[in-house]
Amino acid sequence: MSSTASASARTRTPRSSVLPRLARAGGLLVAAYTLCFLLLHALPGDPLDRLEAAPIDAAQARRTREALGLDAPLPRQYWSTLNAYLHGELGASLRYRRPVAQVLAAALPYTALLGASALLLALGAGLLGAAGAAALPHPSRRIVEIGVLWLATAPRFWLGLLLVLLFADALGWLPASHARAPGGAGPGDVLAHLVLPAWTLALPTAAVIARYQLALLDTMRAAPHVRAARAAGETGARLAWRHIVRPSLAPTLALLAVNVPGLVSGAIVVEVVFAWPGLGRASVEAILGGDYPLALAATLSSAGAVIAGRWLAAALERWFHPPAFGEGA
Amino acid sequence: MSRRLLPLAALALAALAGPLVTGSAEAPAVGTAYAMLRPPGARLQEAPLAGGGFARAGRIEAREDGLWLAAGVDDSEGRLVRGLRVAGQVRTRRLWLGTDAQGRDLLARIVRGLRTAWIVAFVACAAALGCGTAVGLAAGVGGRWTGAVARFASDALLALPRVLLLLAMGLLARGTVWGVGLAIGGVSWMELARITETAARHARATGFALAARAAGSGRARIALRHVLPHVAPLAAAATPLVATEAILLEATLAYLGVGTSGGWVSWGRIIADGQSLLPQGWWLVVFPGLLLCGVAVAVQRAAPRAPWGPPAR
Repeated sequence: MSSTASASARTRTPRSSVLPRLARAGGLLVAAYTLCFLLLHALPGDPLDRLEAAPIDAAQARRTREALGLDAPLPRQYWSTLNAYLHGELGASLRYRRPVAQVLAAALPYTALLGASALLLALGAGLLGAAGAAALPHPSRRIVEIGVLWLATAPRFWLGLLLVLLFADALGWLPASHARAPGGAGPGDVLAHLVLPAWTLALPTAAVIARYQLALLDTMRAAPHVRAARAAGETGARLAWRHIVRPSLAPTLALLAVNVPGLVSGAIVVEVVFAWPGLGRASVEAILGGDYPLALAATLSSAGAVIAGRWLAAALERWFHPPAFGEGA
Repeated sequence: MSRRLLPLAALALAALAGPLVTGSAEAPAVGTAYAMLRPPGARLQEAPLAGGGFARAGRIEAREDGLWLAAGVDDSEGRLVRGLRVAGQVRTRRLWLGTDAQGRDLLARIVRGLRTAWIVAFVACAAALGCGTAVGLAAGVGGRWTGAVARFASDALLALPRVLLLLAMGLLARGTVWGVGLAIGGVSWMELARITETAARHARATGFALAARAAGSGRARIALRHVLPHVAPLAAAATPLVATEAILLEATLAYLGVGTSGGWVSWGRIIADGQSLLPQGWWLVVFPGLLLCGVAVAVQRAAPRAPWGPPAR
């Protein structure tokens, strides 16, 4: 009796095979689609008003409505849109007058570039920062810790503006916004525009990672296995890497996995702040502007990014997970 | 009172008493049509006029026959006046944090923003606590299908980017402070549900919960009488995190243009307005953000480590 109770109380065992995970991800995407669909259709305003066309009479308005499928009852719109999505048709953006797929395809590389560089920066800066802070003597370390706490709570839109104020306005080292210049920008230009948004996106996450990693390093340093290794004659870099740093990486990467949704949300805000021509800015403008086809598709691709990002982080975590921690062997 | 609570108490006091001290947040401190964007620490002279009333002055000149107003704004009508005789003592007021582009005192506006942030955070926390605990209990104690549905709902919401979800819900809120609070609560209950679910699973497997089940108690009764008291301290300990998040989300929402409207000043809106004035109007960006961070840190520091333990067995 008690053994069944404790088994049911245990948390779910991690599933390792790919198929159930894919099925669950698909189910989550459909649920996300349903939620977005309902929410977007509950918003105030008529999509026809957003077409910015010349004033049209009632008959014309009806024809446009029919052409866009806006006159159908909500359940039928729901199914037809879902069906179209399953066949890879995302519809046309009301604002850009182009297929949604084209708008997304133009924005996706920018978002991928921003997200990937921010992820790397956050991980690198967080881990190096923690290692650096761990080596500091007491009073200066305390100051660094307080600064990191403030950084971890700073809203990204504000942080971004501070960086603009410092590096673009005061020092003039970097451009502030608008990565896609009308004159046609080369790769170097895009990279120069990338620096500030990427750091803005990365810094709060880096601060969270650094705080956690620092606490882990402290516990690890005093852990019995480190004393044992020291007694066995291990010293210096080998001791630090094998017994202190490497075992502490797995929990930190798990923390990164938890922070992936926050990073995606943060990327949306950062793209708005820096006028970065990515998915996030497109989706914010679409929601605010009542461009339903684009808003739906962009939100769902962000949801896909969250799900994929969680997978990636979980895979990384398994990669670093030392067998000493448990379920292996 | 605990030292950890002191910053929080000071901020709450500032939100309550601040608006009484700082004067109006809507009326321009520096009048229309005359150099409205003023840096922090700018002096503002208030000159009583010979014809009655007084003017907020830009420039006052001393001539042989006394003080004359070279340029200023009539306080009652808000129009530019010049060449009037000053009668009586000229008072000097300091605009400690400067003014915004409409000439409104930034200090007064920031203090109002503090009040907005508190109310939104409070409403959001209440909504998130209620929703998160209910869903978490359903997932942890409910039957197979109830649990699966509850878990799936919170996972689906977690997959959607919080900012986009909030943006849509914020549009539905139409700028009311309660609506914005509820919208923020509606997107931040998922972590609470997860914490509650895990704790509820553990509590369900304890001896007394099993005994209650054996004695014939239904699921709802076990959930409310035996599981909830064990789950509540954990949910309460997680609430400061929700409050911090709510304050940040409120500012972000306002920055994106969907925040509270009417008299409910929001820091996010002040910062968004300041962005278009960078780099000249740096104080409009720097000060509200600093206070925002300060409030977030204060709330986190005041987080109870163990507010009340689980009930004695």
